[in-house]
Order: sequence, then structure tokens, then C-alpha cells
Amino acid sequence: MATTAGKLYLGTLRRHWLPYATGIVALFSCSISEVMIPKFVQWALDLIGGRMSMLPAWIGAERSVATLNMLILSLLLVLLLGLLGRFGWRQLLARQTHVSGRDLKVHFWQVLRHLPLATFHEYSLGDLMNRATGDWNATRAIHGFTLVQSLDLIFFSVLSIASMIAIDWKLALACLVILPFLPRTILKLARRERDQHEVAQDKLGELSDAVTQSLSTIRLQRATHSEALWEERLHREAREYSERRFAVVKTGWKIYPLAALPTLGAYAVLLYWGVHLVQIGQLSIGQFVAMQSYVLMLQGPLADMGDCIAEWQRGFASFGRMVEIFNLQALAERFLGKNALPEDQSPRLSVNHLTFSYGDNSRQVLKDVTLHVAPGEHIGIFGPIGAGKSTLLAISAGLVEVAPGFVSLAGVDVHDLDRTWLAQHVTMVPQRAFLFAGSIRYNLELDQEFGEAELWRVLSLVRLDADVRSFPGGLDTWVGEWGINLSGGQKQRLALARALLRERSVILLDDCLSAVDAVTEEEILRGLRDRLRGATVIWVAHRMSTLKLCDQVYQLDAGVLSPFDLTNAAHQNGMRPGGAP
Amino acid sequence: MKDDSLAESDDKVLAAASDLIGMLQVLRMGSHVYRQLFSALALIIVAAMSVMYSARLLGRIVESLVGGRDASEIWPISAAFLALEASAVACQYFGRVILAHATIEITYKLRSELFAKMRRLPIAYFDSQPLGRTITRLTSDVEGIENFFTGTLARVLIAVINILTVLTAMLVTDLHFGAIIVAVCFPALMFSVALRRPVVFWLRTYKRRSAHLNAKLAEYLNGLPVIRIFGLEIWSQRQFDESAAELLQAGIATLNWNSVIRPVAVFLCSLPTVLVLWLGGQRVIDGAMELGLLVAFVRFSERFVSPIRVISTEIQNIQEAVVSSERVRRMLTETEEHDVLGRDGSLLPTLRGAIEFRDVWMSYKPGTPVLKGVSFKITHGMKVGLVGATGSGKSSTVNLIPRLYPLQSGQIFLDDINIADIKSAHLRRQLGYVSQDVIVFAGSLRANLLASGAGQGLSDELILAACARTGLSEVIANVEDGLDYQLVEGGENLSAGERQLVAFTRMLLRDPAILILDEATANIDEHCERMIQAATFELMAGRTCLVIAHRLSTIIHCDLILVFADGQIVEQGTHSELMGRGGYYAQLAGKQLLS
Repeated sequence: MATTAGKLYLGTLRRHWLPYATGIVALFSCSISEVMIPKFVQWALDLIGGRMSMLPAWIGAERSVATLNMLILSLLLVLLLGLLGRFGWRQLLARQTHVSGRDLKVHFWQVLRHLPLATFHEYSLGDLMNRATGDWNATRAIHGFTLVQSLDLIFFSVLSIASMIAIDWKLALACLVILPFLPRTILKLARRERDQHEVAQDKLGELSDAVTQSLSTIRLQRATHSEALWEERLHREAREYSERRFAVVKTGWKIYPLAALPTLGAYAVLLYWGVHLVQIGQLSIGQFVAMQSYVLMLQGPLADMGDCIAEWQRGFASFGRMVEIFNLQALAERFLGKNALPEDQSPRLSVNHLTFSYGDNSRQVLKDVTLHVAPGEHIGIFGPIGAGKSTLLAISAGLVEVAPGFVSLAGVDVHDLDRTWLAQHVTMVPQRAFLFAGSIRYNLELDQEFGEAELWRVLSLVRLDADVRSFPGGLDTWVGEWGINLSGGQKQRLALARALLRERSVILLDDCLSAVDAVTEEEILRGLRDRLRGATVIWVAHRMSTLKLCDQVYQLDAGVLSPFDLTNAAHQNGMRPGGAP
Repeated sequence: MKDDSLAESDDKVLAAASDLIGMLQVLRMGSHVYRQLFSALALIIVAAMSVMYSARLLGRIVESLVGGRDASEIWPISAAFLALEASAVACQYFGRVILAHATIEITYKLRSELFAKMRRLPIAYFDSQPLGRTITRLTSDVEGIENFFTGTLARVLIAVINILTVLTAMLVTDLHFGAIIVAVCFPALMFSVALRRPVVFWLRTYKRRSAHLNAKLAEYLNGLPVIRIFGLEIWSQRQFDESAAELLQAGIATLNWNSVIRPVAVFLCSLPTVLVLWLGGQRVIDGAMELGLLVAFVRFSERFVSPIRVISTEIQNIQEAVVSSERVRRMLTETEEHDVLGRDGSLLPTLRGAIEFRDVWMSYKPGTPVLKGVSFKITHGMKVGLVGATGSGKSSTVNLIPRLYPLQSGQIFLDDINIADIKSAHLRRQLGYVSQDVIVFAGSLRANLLASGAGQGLSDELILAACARTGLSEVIANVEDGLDYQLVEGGENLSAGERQLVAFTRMLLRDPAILILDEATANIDEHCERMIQAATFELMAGRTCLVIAHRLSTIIHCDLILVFADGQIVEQGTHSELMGRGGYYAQLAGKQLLS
């Protein structure tokens, strides 16, 4: 059921109504406390000046130190109220920023983890990470901080203006007359500042990209003395960024004098009309000073108003982008849907006249491919790059969605199959090895536990045991995402070991020894032949030499699958594998 | 958590930077904008003083009112008050804008220095750091410094100026009374500064955990196929939830500290006002002080609150900036390549491509040599293959030719000239380098082909001719925009084989005297490999070429094969010679050439 940002937001408010309500009360008492300070100054000045009639009754009637003490004590109490209020809104409202932040992020992954992989053609990693960081920040802000900022602004302004009106409504109006004319300008400036900020941030992103590229290619640049090009580009990007950054600051600072205009205007009114009122006795000195304080205090909210509104706009726009991802839950559920278990567990793979292309407009990656693999068979597929071999494997593993009726495993359409069953019976080793940031042991074990002996056994199978023993931490040596410290061949072997560690009946290997040298590859293949006996194996390779282990070999060229006779081919063409005549 | 080690190193950096050397270094970058900085600060000081003086004027107005003065006496004071307030606004505005401009210039200069430094750092520096860390130095750390200078520092400076002006105004207006009030101002200041440590600690913990959580999300997204294959959805959710809970805890801890510190700080800020009213009030009642003076002091103390708030907020950000500045300073003072390699040569020969190694010893880390007495002689135009297991010394040998690393002993001669006597920039310009990882950046195909500085003025005709020779023209024929075809970062919209062809075409356009091919043909399928081999022969014609590959089929046609093992050359010769000898090479070859 698709939802909107608005609905979700209201739902959160309703769910946490108690902290929100009490938090708002705390914020209100904090605002009262702040607005009362000029009032107390007013009363103190009137008391000291002898205008006792202007004071509220509970303070006292004498122009004495005792009355002053009473007043000061009350002021301290009000300040304490403010202290409690500040503590309160932080604990109640600001806390929601963090709580909602946690909820949003966790929900984000909850949805993403089940999505069909095709979804990620539409939403790139960079896009998703932007939503998970930038948009997330703006979204959690409107659940807490922004709310505080806005309400504080509203309470403060309303209470201050009310206090001014309470003193002398005509004077107050005259002081504030210029006020309504400014917000629109300030809002426009605030919006422009935000837009310019986005532009500057984009530029910063480009600069970062340029830095990354330049650093990634530093060896090549140095070896061929071609750094000048890159450096010039970096300087150019940095210069452009500086200019855009300054534009943001300039616009932002224009708001400040604009917000100060009403204050100056009000001062002028006070100093002429207000003074006159004091001289004719209609206004006390305390009231005069208090009015001036309120005028000054209103400057802050006016300057912040634009920012505040922009935060809400941005917050909800960002929330909308996150909700877009949340709503993909429906896609995930469709994919998780049927969960049929096969009656006979023998994993016969059948691909029937499958024609496939990514997206709508791309070329056909697979053309009318038919392949039947009996349980226990070892199949080899080779062919040029781009022929569709990886796609075929991915479809067979259930990773890539196809229309129903074309691919079945153990008699059940591959997308109807129970996902857990699939994960327990089929494994695939992609061509590009992916490793998690963690130790070698972590990458091998993942969610299960294995004994040391088993781990070493599988490592020796892939001829990685010597390497791992030579690492300083052995099995506990850390490898980063994409296995930063390991060579390409080592990463591939580790990924293969990870797959072999778990007994699976269908094993799909996508040229997973391509970065390993021929000698080592030979040794691994010999060991694998025994290990994989009884399992159904599809082996994809570029080098025909790898496929000699297979019972049956196919060629996949430009999406077309055809059987291939390995023994004849080499003799007939007088060609040795590897392409050399 | 791995990031804890980073935190530890940060703490060490912090300990070393307590005297803010790094900060000063960065400020020194701004020497060309000192005038701007000073005028900005001067304007801000003038603004602050104007405001204080206008507060005094208000006191005078009140006195005049109390004394029942005539309006005509008050008006001039009012006019002056307005003029001061208006000028304060103007000065503040211009002051802050100029300050912003100056600080942005400083960070631009900082970036420029760092970019220039990158050029001079030895390659060994880049080997010793994960790429990510160096990138962080040049991006996040500089951004942190920038935000600090244009944001925090500016605000803190203005707040400090305002506070000092208030305190001075109080003391100047009435020394005795002023001193008492000033004394009461200090608790607020001290409190904010003293309690920053726990907040800073939790803030940094929060940032670290936030980065960790985001890295985890990116990792899981990248590895979703693996998660799907192994059925790790629930496991990944559990791990993610744990990290998210840790992040929440850090956030709440920061919040808890702030929810105590900030309210107390604000309360303490209000004490001066309270004291002014109480003490001053008593004095006025007793007739020892004028009401006008009291009003001035009320105004002064009101101006005290917001700068203190600013300082107590911003003080948390200072720590981070100190760490970033120190890290950047360290990078700027790193040893440079010319220190590591020794004095640069001065000769500028046009190389023909003869190479000789005489008993060369090299090690990346002292004590563990990777080359142990390597000697060979290559004449111009020879195609030389380097064979051997990983780590046997092939790449190290080849990396010495562009002088990426220093030698421990032995000599290298190019065209019979000692490599140390040739100007390294001149030498490198005549080298070509193709490696397994092809650099493709976001841009047109044309831009990518010309990237190695192969002469910007090359016409499209020449570029296309080179493409025809390497076979890249086949790829171009399949895309709409031809040379304008936009490649993405990393070249993901090309296959691995097509990327190799780009690298080859690049080199062809560069036309170097010596070409180094480092494991360039490991990842290609056979069809592409045949194309590349043909292209390679084209590229290798008429120049010296060193090829490293682990597939013997690619080097079978070399004029000379150098067989490496454990940092030494164990055999040399042509393919047939070495096969005849039946040694190590013959063993390797035998395993490859199976049908």
C-alpha cells in the first residue's frame, strides 16, 4: 500500500503524541521565560524610578529594597522555568530527531534488501546513498529540530508582539508597521541562498570526483609525466567552487540588513513618539526600555524565518524521496511472493527458448536459448565478452527476473521457488569477486560457523592457504570492501572458497578464475573436479583450457547457444587455446 | 571496529596539535588576504563599539527624560543613536562579507597547495596509504577546514569581539560597578569552555558511527547479489540494526550532555542582567547611581547573552577543525620525491629505447629487497617479455624505468646514459604505460583518448586512424556519438576488453619511445585478445616494449624473455632457446599450452 510523506509524518506524530505534546509545552514555557525578561526589566525600572502604579500588585507597593528583592527572586524563578523548559524540549522533542532517524534508516534497508536486482538499474548506488544520507538528514530534522526551531520562532514572535501591544497598542503598531512588508523579500533571498547552496554543493561533488580520479591515476600520471592536465583541471574546479561558495555567503548575508530594517524603523518611532509619550506621562521609562528590548528581540525570528520555511520544504521533499523507496516494498513482496517448494529435490535446470534483454530498448542479450542440465552434469559455456554468459547464469540463479515459464529449477519456475530453498541449493560465484569489510574468516563464514579445519581445507582447495598463512593475521586478516588488500586473483579464489564451503547441489561459476595465473588455475581445477562430483555445475569461461573438465560444452555467441565439440575444434582449426597460431 | 584504530590515530594527532600549529599553518596560507582580514575585523570591531556607544546614549536619553529635559535636547541624542545603530548594521554586513571572501580565498589557496604537493610526493607515499585516506585529506578534511573558517571561526571571532566590547564598555562606563558585573560574566564563559570535552567526545563518536553505518549500507547495496545468493537478508538486517542502535546511543549521549550544558549556560548568561537590576537597583534607590547609567548597563548585559550562546555551540566544532588542520599540515610537510630519489638529472636526451640494468637491488621497505641483483641488456626496438610468479620482481623492475622508486644499489642505463642523470620529467614524457586497471573517467571518448597528454592538438582524423589500428573503431561503430560517446566514471559502460583497447589507443597516440605493458591482457576473452594482440604488434613496432603477463601465449613472440623468480632473473633467452633448455620456463610453458 503506497503511502505519502505527509501520511507517514502524521502517523509518527500520533504514535509519539506524548513526547511531542509535552515537548511543545516545555518549549512554550521556555519562550514565556525569555519574553518575560524585558517585562521584569520594565518592572524593575519602574520600581526604581518610583512609578509604583505601573507594577503588578503581587510585587509590592513600596519603593524599597525589599520589594526589589521580591522582584529579583521572581525573575530568578522565571529563569529557572526557562532552564527546565530548555532541558525539557531537548529531551522530548530534539530526541525525536535521533529516534526517527534510526527508524528511517533501518526501514530503508528493510525494504532494499528484498528488492529484485533489476530495480537497481533505475536507482543507482549514488542515488540511493544520497537518499540515505542527505535526504535522511533533512527528513529526521523535520521530525525534531526543525519543529523546535519553527515553534520557537512562532511562540517567541507572538508573545513578544503581544507584550508590546499590552504596553501600548498604538505605539506597538507604529513600531511594527514595516514588518509585514519584509518577509516576502527575506523568503526570496532564503530560497535563492538554498538554490545557490545546491549549486555549490554539486560543484563540490565534481571537485571531489576530480580529486578521486586524479589520485587513482597518480602512478600512471607520474610514470608518463602527464600530471599537468589533471592539476589544471583540479585548479579550475576549485576556483569555480570558491566563486559559487562566495555567492551563497553574499546572498545569505543580505538577509541580515533586511532583518535589521524593521528594528531601525522601530527605534526611530520609539525615539520620537515613544519619548514624547514618556514626557507626557503616558508611558513609563520601564515600558519605554521594554519596548526597545522587544523590538531588538524580534530581529532574530525575522532573520530566521526564511531559513525555517525552507527547511520544511526541503524536509518534505527529502521525505518524499525516501518514501518513494519505502513504497518499493510492493515490488519486493511480489518477488518474495509465492514460495513454492519443489516436490522432488533433484535440481534439474531447464531453460526453454529464453529470449532476454535488459530494459526495453537494449539489444537482445539471449536469443531463444534452450538448455537442459541434468543433475550431476558438468556443463561448460564459453564465448566472447558480451555474449550473455553472465546473464544466463544470473537468470538461472534467480537473481535476474524473467517472465514466467522460461526458466525452471527442480520443476518449479525459478521465480516461484522458495527463496530460502534457492539459497540452500544453488550457489553462484560472480566474475567480479565481492568481499565484505571484515576478516577472511568473516568473509568465509558469513552467517554460519565453521571449524578451522574446514576453512583451511577449502582454502587449500583454491590454493589460497599458503597466501593466508603468510598474512600477518592469518584467517583474521582484514580485507576491505572489494577486498582492498588482496590481488584480483586472491579475491576471486576467496570468493570461490566461500561458495565451496557450503554444500550446494547447483553450482554456477562465472569465469571466477580469470585473474588467476594458468599454473594455479590448473591445480585448482584438478581439485575441484573431485570436490564437485555429484553436483550440477555450469562453468563459464573465456579460456577453453578451463573447460576440459566438463561433460558437455556449449558456445554462447551473440546470445545464441550452440553445442561445441572441444576435442575436434583444437585440431581442426590448428589453433591452440589462447589464440596464438 | 576498524574505525576505532582511525580514532586512536586521530587522538594522537590531537595530542600533538594541542598548540594549534596546524591551524596557524592554514592561516599562513592567507597571507595574500591579510589586508582583507584586517579590514573585515576592523569593521566588525567598529560595529560592536557603535552598538555599545548607542547603549550609552540610550542611558543619556533616559537620564534626560528623568531630569525632565526638553525634547529639543533629546532629539540630537536620538539622532546620534539611530546613526550609530544604522552604521553598526552596515559595518557588520560589510565586515562579514569581506571576512567570508577572505576565508574562502584562504581555503582555495590551501587546496592549490595540496594539489601541487600531490605532484611532488613520492609514489611510495601513495603505496603506504589506502587511497581512501588520501582522498579524505584532500576533500573532507579541506571541507572541514573551509566550513570551520567561513562558519565557526567567523562566528567565534565576532562573538569574542562582541564579548570583549561589552566587558570593556562596562568597565569604561563605571569601573567599580562594571568590575562586579564583569566578574559575574565569567561563570558563563568558563562553564561553556570547561564542559566541552564530553560533548566533543560523543560528537566524534557519533560521526564515526554514522560513517560506519553509511559505509555498511553502501557495502550491502554493492554486495546485494552476494546477499541474495547466500540468503543473507536477515543476517544483514541484524547487523544493520546493531550499528543503527549504536549510532542512536551516541546521538542520545550527545543530546543528554547538551540538554544539561546549554540550559545551564543560558541561565548563567542571564545572571549579569539579574545582578545589574539587583545591585544597580539598590544603588539607584539609595541615590548612589543614576537611572540612566543603570539602563545603559541593562543594555550592555543584554548584548552578552547571544555571543556566549554562539561560543558554547561552536566550541564543539573547533576540535574537529584542529584535527583536520593537523592532518593537512602533515601532508604538506611530507618528504618529496626529489628528496627520496636524490638529485634530479639535467640531461634531456631523446630516447631511442636501449635499456640496461646492472646488478640492481631494490626494496620498498628497508631490509626486504624485492630485486636482488637484476641485470639485463635490451637494445632499441626489442620486444621483451617478463615472466614469473606474482611478487617475483617483474612489476618492481618495470617501475624503476620511470624512476617511481629509488634504487638501493646498482645502476640503470637508458641509451647508455645513467638514468639518474636524465631529467626525470623529460624521461617520463617519453614513456608509455598500459596496466590492467585502465583509467577511464567521466567524459567523452575523445577526452579519454587524449588524457595522457598525447598532444591536445590532435585532429579527429589522427585519433580515428589510431582507433582503426587498435580495433577500437569497431566499438565506435556501434555507438551513436562516435568520439563524443560519453563514458562514465570507471568506464563501466564499456566491457573490460573495450577498456583495454582505449588504453592501447591512448598509447598509440602518445607514441612513446619505451612502452610498458603491465599485465594488460589478463582479463580478456579470446576474441578480444586476438584483436588486442594484433593491436599490440602495431603498437610495439619500432619501439622498445616490456610486457608483463602471466599468459605465455602473449609473450611467445618476444625477442627476449626474462624469467623472474624471487627477485632475480633465473633465465634469459628467446622462447625456443628456453624451451630447449628445459628449465623453469619450460615447466611454466608446458602447463599453458594444452589443447
